[in-house]
Amino acid sequence: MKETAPIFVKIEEYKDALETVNAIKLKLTEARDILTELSALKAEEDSEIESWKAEMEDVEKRMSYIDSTLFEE
Amino acid sequence: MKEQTTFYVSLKDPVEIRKNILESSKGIIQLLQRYDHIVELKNNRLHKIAELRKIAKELARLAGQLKMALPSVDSIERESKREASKVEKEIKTKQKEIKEKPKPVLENRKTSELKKLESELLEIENKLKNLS
Repeated sequence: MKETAPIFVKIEEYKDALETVNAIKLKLTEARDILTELSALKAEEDSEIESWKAEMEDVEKRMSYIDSTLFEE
Repeated sequence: MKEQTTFYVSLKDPVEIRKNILESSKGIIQLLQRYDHIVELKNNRLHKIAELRKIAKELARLAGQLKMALPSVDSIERESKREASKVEKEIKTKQKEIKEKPKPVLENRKTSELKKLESELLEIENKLKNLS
């Protein structure tokens, strides 16, 4: 294993670094929550689009029936 | 004046046609409602993506801050090189000592010192190996 000489960090800077690491962890948690919400929103959107498609096909069928009945030869 | 003739078309199943027209109207209104909901969902999604972008920027700023708070890799490398040159210098000095050392009178003493030097050399070489 590679051994390196110890590096000393000023206590103020060390505290700053710890605070920054905590802030990063917090932001990462926020990002993960938003990603979860985004996935849920996308799934809902996809499901709505599928329903939209089904509903539209139903209307198309009805219109086709009306068309064929009214304008049949 | 020209007389206008009126034509009539017979509908076989008027109730069914009426029912279909009404159902179609209902379906189209539901499509519009659903469309509004999809737009709302899309706006929510875009809002969340904007939030995520904001967080990503904040994370980049914090990463820079962390980099500033900790010693740079350059300074660590400089420190390692300084340590390595120190150890190299030690080896050279020891080697010089070995060469310049007068031959000991006693055979036993010579053997023990040689062993000691050899072990020291080995130790220094190991240190160097660990550094590089």
